[in-house]
Amino acid sequence: MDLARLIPAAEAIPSPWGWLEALLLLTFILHVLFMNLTVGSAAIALYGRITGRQRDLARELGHRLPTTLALQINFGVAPLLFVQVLYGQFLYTSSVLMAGWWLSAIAAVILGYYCLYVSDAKFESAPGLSRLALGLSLGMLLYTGFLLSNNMTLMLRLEAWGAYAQNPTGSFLNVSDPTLWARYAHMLLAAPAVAGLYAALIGVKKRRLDWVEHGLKWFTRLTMAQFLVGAWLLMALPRPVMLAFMGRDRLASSLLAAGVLAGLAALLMGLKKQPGAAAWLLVFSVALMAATRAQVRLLTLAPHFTPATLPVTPDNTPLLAFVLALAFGLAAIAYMLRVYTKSAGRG
Amino acid sequence: MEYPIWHLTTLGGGFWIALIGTFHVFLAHFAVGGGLYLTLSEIYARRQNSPALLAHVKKHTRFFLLITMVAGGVTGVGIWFIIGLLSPQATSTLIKTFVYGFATEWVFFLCEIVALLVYYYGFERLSPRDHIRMGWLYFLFALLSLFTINGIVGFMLTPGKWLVTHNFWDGFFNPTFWPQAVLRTAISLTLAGLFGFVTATRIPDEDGDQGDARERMVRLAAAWTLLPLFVCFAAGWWYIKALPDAQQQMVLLRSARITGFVRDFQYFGAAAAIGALLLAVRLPRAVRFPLALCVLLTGWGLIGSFEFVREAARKPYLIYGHTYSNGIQVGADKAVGEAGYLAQAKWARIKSVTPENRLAAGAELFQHQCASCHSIGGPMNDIKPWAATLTADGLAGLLEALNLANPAMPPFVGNKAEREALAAYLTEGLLGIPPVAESPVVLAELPTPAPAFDPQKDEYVLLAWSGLGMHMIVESQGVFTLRPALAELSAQLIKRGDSPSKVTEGVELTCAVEGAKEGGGQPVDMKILEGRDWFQAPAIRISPRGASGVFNPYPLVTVEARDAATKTVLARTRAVLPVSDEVGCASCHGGAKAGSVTGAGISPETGQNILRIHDRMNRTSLASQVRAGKTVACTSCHADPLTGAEGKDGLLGISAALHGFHASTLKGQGPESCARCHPSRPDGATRFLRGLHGQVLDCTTCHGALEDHAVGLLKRELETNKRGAKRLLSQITPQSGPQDKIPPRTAWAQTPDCLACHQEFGAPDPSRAFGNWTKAAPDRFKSRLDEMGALSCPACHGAQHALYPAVNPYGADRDNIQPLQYQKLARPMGARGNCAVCHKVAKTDSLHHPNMIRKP
Repeated sequence: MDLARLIPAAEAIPSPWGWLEALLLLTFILHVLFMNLTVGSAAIALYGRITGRQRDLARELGHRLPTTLALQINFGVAPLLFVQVLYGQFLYTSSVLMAGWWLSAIAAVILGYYCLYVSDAKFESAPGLSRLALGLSLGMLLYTGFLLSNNMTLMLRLEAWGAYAQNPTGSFLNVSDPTLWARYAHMLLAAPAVAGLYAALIGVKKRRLDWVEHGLKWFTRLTMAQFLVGAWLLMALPRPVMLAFMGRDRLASSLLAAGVLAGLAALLMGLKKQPGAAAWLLVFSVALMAATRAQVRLLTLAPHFTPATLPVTPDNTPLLAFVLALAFGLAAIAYMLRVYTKSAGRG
Repeated sequence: MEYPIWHLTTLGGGFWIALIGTFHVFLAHFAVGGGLYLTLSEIYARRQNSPALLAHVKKHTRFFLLITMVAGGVTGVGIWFIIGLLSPQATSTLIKTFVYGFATEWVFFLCEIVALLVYYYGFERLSPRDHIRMGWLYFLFALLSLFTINGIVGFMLTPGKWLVTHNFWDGFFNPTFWPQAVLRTAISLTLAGLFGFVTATRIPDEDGDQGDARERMVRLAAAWTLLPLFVCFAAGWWYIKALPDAQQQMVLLRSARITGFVRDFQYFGAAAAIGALLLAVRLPRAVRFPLALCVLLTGWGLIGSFEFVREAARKPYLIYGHTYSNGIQVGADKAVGEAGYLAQAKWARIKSVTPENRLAAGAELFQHQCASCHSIGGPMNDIKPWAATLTADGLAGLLEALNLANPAMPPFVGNKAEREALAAYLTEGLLGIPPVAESPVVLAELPTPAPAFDPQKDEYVLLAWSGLGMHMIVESQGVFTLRPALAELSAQLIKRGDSPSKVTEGVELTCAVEGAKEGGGQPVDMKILEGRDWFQAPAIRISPRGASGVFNPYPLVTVEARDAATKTVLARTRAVLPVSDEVGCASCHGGAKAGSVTGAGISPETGQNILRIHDRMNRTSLASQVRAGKTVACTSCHADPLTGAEGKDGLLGISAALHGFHASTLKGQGPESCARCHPSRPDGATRFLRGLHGQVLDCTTCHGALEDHAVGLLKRELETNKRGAKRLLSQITPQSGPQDKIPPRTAWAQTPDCLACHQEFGAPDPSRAFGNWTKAAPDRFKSRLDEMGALSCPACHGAQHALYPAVNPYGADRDNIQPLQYQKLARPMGARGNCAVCHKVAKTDSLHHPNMIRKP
């Protein structure tokens, strides 16, 4: 059966695809950074709560978690929007195939979100409950991440779509895809690494050297492991895609190489106990890796689809309205954050 | 047709949308109004310099944050998830059209989050001025967020000019943009008050405070609830008024369900108001807090019922005029054509209907076209009760005209085999009802001896005829009555002679039904009909089941003429008084057949099924009226010229209503569509087309195909602007050509004019039968006189549909008694030179009408 025949027809987009791809990439980078902060902080905090080490750090991270999750969710909305615009015909299809699971992510996130508040509020008064809530929350977030990895890989894997013929009830998962596990592991490992660096930065700010030490340990060790998982992910990719990253496609290979180098540099700074420099390099690396991820999507879909072929019916006034709203919004955010930080110590 | 379908059963698409949707909008609106509530409450608390009030505002902020940012925010993403799963096609259109609208809304959402977090975490930290400023900023961004999403949501209901221009701003600032923005803002303020009760009722007594802070805040919440409610109702009315006509009609007139939601909106609003007033009274805390939670739920009801009205007013579309509720785009029904839906739907797992896969194909079609709203046995929009009111045939007919019969439904997209497969799945597959084949009815021959007539001695000829070719009893015992079992018989007494005379005085005519049930069959007096020279019994109680109980749609009546003075019988004859309750409702509307062998009668179950459809289509409550023990009289609303029932002003007559509605569900057929309802099935129990015409023509020759017939009736109703006439006419395409070629016809008062075909009483041209109606009631065959003004047409030719020589299915000559009695010939009276029957001598002039004496 020619599965490409199943790809739904796509409608016109209002701007050239590059703009939308750039917005998708930019907002995804923000989302994935906050995801790393949230999931990783939850993991580090839970580790601290269970082992009894770095209890203060666990409290500090736990206190920040609801905020990072709020921003993670918000920054997830934007790439979810843009990915629908460019790749909706793939995403809606894979979503329907795993519909029941996909919808359950909403309940999981709400539950995980509330648990973070419970965990923070009950830190002193009911530590057992607080720990349990934190564990549950982490479980929910990991579950949601697993579903996201599933959907993001399934939307690219036309050969799995045939499963719909036997199972149209929305209970399919892309577990037979070798890239799923590697990709999920890659994401999972990144989270505590990034959060470790975040803990180190908080340690610097709060003059807690033990936090710096502890955080950098998380960062450096997991980042080292990340190179192995990254290699696994590269190998797990469909052969033409993998080869594209090994020199056949200049842009893809360059992005990957730059991302790896930036990651290595960040690791080096981590080992040198310079969390500030490591953080900048890490953000740079994450951005490059996100761009690499976008290349994986483009290259995997290339035999069937490229967004450059989407018809464009340009309408610039809504785009202008968005840009104005964004400028106004960013200015307002800058003002609010300035007022907040300026007031530090007053209260 | 492009996307896979998530197969759902018990919890169908409607359930998920309703659950996530109403929950989200409840919290999301609170997120807007609550922002203003927080800010103003803080200002109030600071002005009052009340630590208790300020502490309450802080607590309320936490409550607000937990409710709106967590559950409210995430369920918003949930709406995207669920619409993408249930209607990927429409979601794709929406997202691509409004990507920058959504992106703008996202920016505002981000600003909201930052503002709320800064407000919450900065409660102690910021200066009061800065803190209050953060509150204002939060409210501003929440309002902007509502403003943006309001444009997109309104677009789906009333896309307005966008349908033509596809311009972002035309869609965004659509016809309901402003009323909806005001309405939603007002609802959000009311909800802020309702949520305010939850925390305000729990403000503890402070030292020396005696709950003063609590009372103040509770009363403030009451004001917050009540004042915007007035705006809610006003904006709600504005909103409905801003809807385009068709949608406004749907909300206010057409759909019982939607008007129910409009009513719910008012009830919930009233309940919220009463709740707010109750809470404002000083009540014990143990009562007040639970009461606050209950009153909060009225807010969910308020916004939920509004969303239901909005969704319902949008039916049968997701994007009005562009994408149907099931995600199929407008025009797909035409594009699919006879090739069928399955062959062209990319993700259909079955590509064509075969006898083997019929039910599976039906199931697939159900999932593709129905399951996005309808569940199977679930709590919302369960398809089973609806499917149970129709048979497979009925459903297949309905599917052909789904959007016409019910304007809240999209058209079924598919070919005939697919309609039948879906209908079979809904009946056989889901309800386990096996298909019923109409088997031919075996009829027994009945003896029909003609009374004696001695042409030498007898001085009188008595002719009698039924007022109708077939009196159709249409009633469902205890449920509804359309035509009661009362039939009309006419008779004319002729004194024989060279110049025969009509006898109208000094005689008494009676008629008596033979073999009638106990209590019936007594002689009925016949009276002279005003303006005519014949006698009539207008309402003889009659039944197709006589004393024997055996179905016989052709009972006989004995008619006798007596000398008024001496009571001597002057003449006696017999005539068929045809009557049948073989009404085919059950073949489509389901329910047990009342007469299991003959298929005659309408069972109460069938009757109820019909009323339920009527109720749903016309906002009536007939089914419940019947349950309360009151039988529905159809003609109390719908005029029936046959019985003289006047009906209600402004409503369609019964004939136009029934034919007009069914012209869509039974379209494209010949006389078989007539036999769906009327007792004309060629192998049925009645077979009432037994006259000369019935042997060579069918119903449609004179009456037209169902569509054509309906158009004639509806055009007449349209002249007096009857409700529904225009709409029904717009749905019908006549089989014979354009509508304007069909002249209006008043049911029963106008009939096909015999002389249109038989010009100058000559050889017929049947092509002229349809559309040439008699002008006035006296011109009809049953009322018309011959050219001498002596005899009525049916006196000599027999009743319509039983013209001599008729062949009655219950015995060939059952309808020919009088010609056989008087002239031993089953032909019209006097045919073949039998003038002597009345004139006693032969005649040579065609005085009754031209061409009556034919040259040999």
